[in-house]
Amino acid sequence: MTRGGGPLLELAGVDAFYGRAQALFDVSLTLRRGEIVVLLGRNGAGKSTTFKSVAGLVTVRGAVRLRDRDVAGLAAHRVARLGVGYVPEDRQIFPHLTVAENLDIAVKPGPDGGVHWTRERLEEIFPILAPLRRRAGGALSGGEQQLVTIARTLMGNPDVLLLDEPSEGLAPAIVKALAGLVERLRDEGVSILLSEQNVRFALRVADRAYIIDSGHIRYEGTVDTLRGEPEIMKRYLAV
Amino acid sequence: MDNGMNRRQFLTAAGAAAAGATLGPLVPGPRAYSAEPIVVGFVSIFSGRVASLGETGYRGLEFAIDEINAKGGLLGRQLKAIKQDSAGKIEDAVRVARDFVTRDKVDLLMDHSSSREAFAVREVSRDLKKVTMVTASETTELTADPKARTPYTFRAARQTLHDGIVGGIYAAGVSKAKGMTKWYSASPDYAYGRASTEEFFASLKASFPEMQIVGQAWPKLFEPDYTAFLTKMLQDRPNACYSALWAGDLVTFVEQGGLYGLFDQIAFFGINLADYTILKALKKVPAGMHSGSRYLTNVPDTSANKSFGERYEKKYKELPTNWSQECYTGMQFLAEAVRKAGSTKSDDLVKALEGLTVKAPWGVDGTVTLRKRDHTIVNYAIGWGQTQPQAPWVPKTSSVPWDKILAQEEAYLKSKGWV
Amino acid sequence: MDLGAFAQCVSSTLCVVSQLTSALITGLILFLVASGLSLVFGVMGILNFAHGSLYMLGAYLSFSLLRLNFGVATVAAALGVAVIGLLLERVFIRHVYRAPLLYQLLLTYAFILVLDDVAKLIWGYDFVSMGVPDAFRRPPIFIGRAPVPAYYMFIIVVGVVVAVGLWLLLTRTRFGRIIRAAADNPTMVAALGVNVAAVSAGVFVLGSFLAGLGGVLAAPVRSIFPGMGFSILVESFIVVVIGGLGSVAGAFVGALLIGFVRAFGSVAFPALEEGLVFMLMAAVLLTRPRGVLGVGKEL
Repeated sequence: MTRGGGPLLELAGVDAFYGRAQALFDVSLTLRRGEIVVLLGRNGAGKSTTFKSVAGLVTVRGAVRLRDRDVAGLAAHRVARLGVGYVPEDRQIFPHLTVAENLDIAVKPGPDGGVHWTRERLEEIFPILAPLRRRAGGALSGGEQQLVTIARTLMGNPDVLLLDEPSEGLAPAIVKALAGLVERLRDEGVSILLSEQNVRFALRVADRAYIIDSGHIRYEGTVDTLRGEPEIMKRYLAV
Repeated sequence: MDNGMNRRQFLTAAGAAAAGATLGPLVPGPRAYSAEPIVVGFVSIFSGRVASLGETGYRGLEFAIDEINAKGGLLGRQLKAIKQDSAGKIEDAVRVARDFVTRDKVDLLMDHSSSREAFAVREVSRDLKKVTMVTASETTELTADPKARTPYTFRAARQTLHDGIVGGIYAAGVSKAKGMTKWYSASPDYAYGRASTEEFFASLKASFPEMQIVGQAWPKLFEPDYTAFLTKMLQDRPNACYSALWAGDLVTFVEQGGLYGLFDQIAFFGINLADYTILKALKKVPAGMHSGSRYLTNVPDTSANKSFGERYEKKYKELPTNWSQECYTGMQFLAEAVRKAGSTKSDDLVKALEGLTVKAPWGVDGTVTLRKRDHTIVNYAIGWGQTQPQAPWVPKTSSVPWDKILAQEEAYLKSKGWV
Repeated sequence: MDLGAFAQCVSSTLCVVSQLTSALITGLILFLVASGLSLVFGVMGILNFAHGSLYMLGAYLSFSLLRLNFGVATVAAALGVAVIGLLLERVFIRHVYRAPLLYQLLLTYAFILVLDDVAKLIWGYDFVSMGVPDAFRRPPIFIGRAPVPAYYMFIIVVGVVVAVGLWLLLTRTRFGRIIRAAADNPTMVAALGVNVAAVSAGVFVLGSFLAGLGGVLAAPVRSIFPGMGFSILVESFIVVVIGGLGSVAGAFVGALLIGFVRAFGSVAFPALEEGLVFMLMAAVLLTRPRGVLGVGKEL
């Protein structure tokens, strides 16, 4: 299936660097409004670096366009205020703050100035949140932490959500719930760029897929097309 | 991040800091003269809570040098001083003194350090055989202990024992009149504070055997907060307290003690109170405190001393301190010795300095003498009296004749095995 | 060692009250300075050697402004130090956030020397003494026969109010939560849309204000001189080690502990007073390297 309007986020010829070491080479990809796009690749292939390039957390060369505005080189908090919500791979919950405090820090209006997400709304979508409100972030389980970090990012009303390996380390039942959640968010108007090693989960939720390997984009196509390319999946993803 | 920029800014800041910290401004050199000047190396503390030690001491030295140069200098040569900050650190004082002798080739050393550094600088003087005039360390042992004495070190500063003897006799008189038997002390915890306190109490006990020490506080030098000591003292309820605290420490102690109403209950005997830096720093000088004279224009009450104070004040817009007076006097000794010896060689100078008597505003009869036996100054004015809140702060002082001081000194030195 | 004296002290209200106030004064002034040091380290990862110099500037500014009025002097001097802190941070320190530790230490250490020299140029080489304001020149207040100077009551009240205010700020406001979060993970805070550079500047200003306030409160009862910041800096480091790096609650506990050790140590071990503080630090380091509350960063 194909979905989506005009391009919301677009990387064009992006190189990324950690100090002098180059981690991305000429990466180009597009996320259209209303889409879920997945970036597939092995450990160390460059998925997280691609996300950091967007979030303003790594030095880049090339163009990162958000709604036709070039945000490459902008400070992280400016990119966030333009509507990019970044949920890092290792979750990075604030361990000494309670869940409520974790959420409170991220509160800001969306790029259009509107407030779509409130704690009440999030507690409705994530019923697990309410009873955890006063617990310290460091005391949560991995699955709880994952949900709290997603909820935390949503408090900033992003219209682009970068989800870096959300399913990693989660029990299968929770992964299933996560898939439902991602779809629900898309239906609420959030466009999602997802990275995954869990191909089954990724292909279930995404509209289109990119494959990254050694910092190069090797494949681009719809999920349905990719399903018919076992050779490619085997080569780059070892499935 | 722009690393080059950072490094440059950082270097600028560090460079400025280092320059400011280690290079005291040097004295401008004298006008051109045919002969090389005679150079005095002056090591002292120019930073921190007792920067006034170095600053006002150096002024006393400079004042003496200007007077001598105005009269044609010494041996046809001009006098000149160079100074450097030890920051009160023993290792820095030693390094500065060594550099003065070996690198700058100074002719004379003046060690205007606290007793902590003075003992170490004495060893430099011994080692490099350089005549050194000590102008600040008052600790008796520095020159009194014959086993540690060096031929090259002389002292133109007060000796704690002399001050302590006069103070003890004075305090005994007050104690008898008021029945103050319970005594306390609050002195800095190092050689000077310990010696000064012990010697004061020895003299007090000799004249007033009923006295007993009910408690002693030993705060460290430069202690910022005396509250714990003060509250302890209040509980111990002494009648009187002796203190060898000095400079900013003493001011802080008196200010903090005042908050507790300490001085309404306890008679205070501060050997270092009556110096103009202290009297002026205190917002209100409490009335009725007992103090030894440091520098006062009326101790000794002579026209020579009054004139010295006035001339100095005219030049520097402030009155001399005890340290100015000591450095001034130390320079008089050195100058007279150079004239007498006709050279600046150490051995000639030592001969000339031993037993040397010079005219000095500070002398009780207009002269002071460097005693031959132990190279320390005698016959200087020592007075004790009570404070009042306004100038002249210590209007009346009483003293003890020097023959009596010397007799009591001899007895004390014998008890220590030093004679 | 004099355990007899200690036992006697503990059994007398006079002694307990006197030494307790002594502990509180020492501890609270130390807390003001050390909490700022700890916050700045916690959020920015900078060990600011010049922190003691800000304490010194607070004392000097208060000394100079006293001629106006004591209340004005207190507030204006502490705010003045906050402004100086802002300049230091914006012009210099922000450039070394990610520089090697040695650069940070050298830069902030350089400021000790520079600010000491600035103080010498403006206020002279000699110590100055401002004395307690006339409003506090009155007989001590007696609490069960123990005298407590009026000005010390003032220090205790201000110290406690600031400590409570700081606690409320850190736990009950969004700014405070951001500060705590940034101490853990500044990158993530930035990725959530918070301008961490501005927060850092804010924290530095807050820390400078606290150090300045410590200097302002201490000024009337301690002598003021170039270099006075160094001894409180050393003690603040000890507090931060005891309390845990970056923990304000830990700084509170650590500062009061030092106050108590000093006050009661001078009764029980008069010869060891100084060493006791270091022994306390060593004991904490050995048993709880994250500080007494166990929430700070490990050394």
